[in-house]
Amino acid sequence: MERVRGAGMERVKSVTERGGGAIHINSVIFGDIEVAPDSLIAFSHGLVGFYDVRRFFIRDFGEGLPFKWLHAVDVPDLSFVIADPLTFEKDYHVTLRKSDLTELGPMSEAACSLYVILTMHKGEPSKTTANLKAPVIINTTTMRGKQVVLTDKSYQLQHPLFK
Amino acid sequence: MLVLTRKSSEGIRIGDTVKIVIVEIKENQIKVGIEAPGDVTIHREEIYLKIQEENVRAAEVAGSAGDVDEVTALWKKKEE
Repeated sequence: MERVRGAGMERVKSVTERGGGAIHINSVIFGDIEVAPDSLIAFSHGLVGFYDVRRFFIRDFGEGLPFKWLHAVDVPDLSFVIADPLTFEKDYHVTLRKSDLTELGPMSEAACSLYVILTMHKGEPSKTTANLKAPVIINTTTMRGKQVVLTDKSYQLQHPLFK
Repeated sequence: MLVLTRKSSEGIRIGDTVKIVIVEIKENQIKVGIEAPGDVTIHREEIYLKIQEENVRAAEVAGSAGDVDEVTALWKKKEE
């Protein structure tokens, strides 16, 4: 099966790693930035369709917004907007499988961060949807992440953010 | 792609740990049984593809600052 790759994979050269120090990224969104190695999140299987993109970092939107950037380290123009699903879907919950826990490593409840990926539409912000079917789980202790595909049929792939 | 012909109740082994069995064959539907260790994830192909497409779409617009600003502005308005 052919994998869909993030656009701009060839631009990997604009990421420079200095021995043991910060990683320099020429991000399309943030410009020239440095990311501390201990803030990197390892996705051992990437995200679905982006299997080869294994390292990400997170940046806040700020001002109390429930959104964050999930930005690839090695692909400077690959980023996702993720959101805290509990801010708009109060009963949302995820049951992790043994396979998920093996991948994420030992995790206390406090170390488990749950996000969903938003899909936006050009010029039509009200049409923004959240992918409740395949949330992103991050273990903030091990700094490992995984996009989990839920079998729960009640959660939609395109859940409207604004109702 | 490796293509094998199997009859009902016959199986396929993938490595030492994954076993696939043809449980039942009807006109245009085949029931497949899968035995795999807990760390192997199994999904219907079409669901996997839909999530893949959704991720690609999500990444496309997330790269344009203007659209993201519009969404945050709408969110703030909703919260007011």
